Amino acid sequence: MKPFRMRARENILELALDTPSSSVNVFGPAAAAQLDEVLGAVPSHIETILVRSAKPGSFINGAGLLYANAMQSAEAALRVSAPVRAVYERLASATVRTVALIEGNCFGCGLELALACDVRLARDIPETEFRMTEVTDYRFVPLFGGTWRLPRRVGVERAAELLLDGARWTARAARSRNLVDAVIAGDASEHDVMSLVANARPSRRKAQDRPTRRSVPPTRAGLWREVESLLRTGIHDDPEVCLQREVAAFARTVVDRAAKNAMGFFFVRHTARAASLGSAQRSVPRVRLRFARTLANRTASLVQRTAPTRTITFASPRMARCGRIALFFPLGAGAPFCELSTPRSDLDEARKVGEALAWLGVEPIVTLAGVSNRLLAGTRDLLRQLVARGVSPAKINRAFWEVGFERPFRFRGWSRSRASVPPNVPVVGHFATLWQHTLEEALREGALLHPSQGEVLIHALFDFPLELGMFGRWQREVRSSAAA
Amino acid sequence: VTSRSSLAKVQAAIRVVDPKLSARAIHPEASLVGDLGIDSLKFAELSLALEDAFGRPIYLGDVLAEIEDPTTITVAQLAEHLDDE
Repeated sequence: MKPFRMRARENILELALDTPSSSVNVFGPAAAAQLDEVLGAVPSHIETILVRSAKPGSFINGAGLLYANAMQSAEAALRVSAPVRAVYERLASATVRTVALIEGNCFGCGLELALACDVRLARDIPETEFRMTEVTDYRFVPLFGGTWRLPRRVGVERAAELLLDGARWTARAARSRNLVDAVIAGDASEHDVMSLVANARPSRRKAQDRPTRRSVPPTRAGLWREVESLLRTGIHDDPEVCLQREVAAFARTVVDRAAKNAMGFFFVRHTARAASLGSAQRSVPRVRLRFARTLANRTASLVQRTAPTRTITFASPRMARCGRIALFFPLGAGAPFCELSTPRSDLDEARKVGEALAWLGVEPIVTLAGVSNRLLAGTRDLLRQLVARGVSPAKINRAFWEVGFERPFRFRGWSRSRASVPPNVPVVGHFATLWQHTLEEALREGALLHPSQGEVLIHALFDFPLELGMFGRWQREVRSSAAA
Repeated sequence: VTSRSSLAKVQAAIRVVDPKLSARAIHPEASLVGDLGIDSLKFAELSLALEDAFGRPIYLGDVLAEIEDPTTITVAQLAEHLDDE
């Protein structure tokens, strides 16, 4: 079965992506080959090609991480990606008008595919979310125009927010930042949508600005600086030159150890989701849509309240309750996640709520007793003990910073000094050991349903660096090197 | 050489992930990605199904990282990898 369903509607050729055997759309080699074929033989009466999704809630979620993970050398990365890259350029230079209709998640290469179209329309529904995941989640440079087409549309600073800060934009935010040309009301009829598809024109707003220099830990500084540089030059240099630079940077970074570790974490994250929800695949939630939207609004307001800070406040936990299920939103910046703590008797109900959250872009971790609270309380107590013993907050912050943690603790005297501290300084070891013991205890008690959930909690709560891979494995390596 | 029981466990785990697949489709030489449609999300579910079958923790992400091209891995090769662990 081919990934795109095709239908001619008068002078519009509609291509609706429906990736076979998958709950979300993936723009992999098969979809690229079909699109290439279509673009090579557009019937003469067709004036517009419409790219949309036949899957609820997903425009395009990615390019298939298995393919990126399989790239073992820069040469292989160039060879494997070449045909897909060529399709993006063919789409961008198509002689007919091209329109992307985005109704659902528009991540990474999906956003770049939309950028290669002449016009972008986004439906204003909670599931429509724009994200660039390559750098923040997988530690490689994007490949299909993210470092040059994107800043030309939205400006360098806004592009950096998406690429380097992990910003998530709604349909309205994407419109206000010039990423999309029009927003379609959530309840607009198919007739109204097609009328807009036929008539919408690209906005001509010119993007010009300078990026703010971002402060990032040494472990990721190289990649962040490289992307900043690509964005700065990408806005005005010759497109062909930008394309070549981007391709070379992708091929180099996708085979780097940091990218392999970060991509490996994808499987950990989805294993945790499978353990939490019973399935890693995203399904349309079985709870009523109205309830899901209420929950989304509640979540959004909680996330908004916590988003401006990159620190953990240790204030009273942000809890919401849904029957006997406690929803815990400890932070919002970066990747929003929520721990749902429930008695085993209510596990099925909690999974339904979790499905709704996952559908809305919040990572749910379903546990049988609050584990985030224990991790945070233990961390707070350890902080107090260390400070009482005379360890300065600046030293603690610096140690975490050097290892690559970006979201440690709110301390007066928060320092971003680059002073050299060995990566396994004892102060980090104290915290890592505490977290490891807390997780082991939670697993023994059955509070965690699977060890992968602990990995996700440590990453989400403390921003354990993706470059290092899994927390548990890192701990073992540090312990064995200390023993040797 | 893959033990018969490991192969059977892998085949059973794949059917847990996708019950629509026939037993005949999950032959030892079938490619997980190309023939059986196991994508990156289904690999996560397969991890858990394999843990149930083998009774020990299995991170398929680690297994995949050791294989030159994980998109070509077959049912028998996966069983062999799990046998070796």
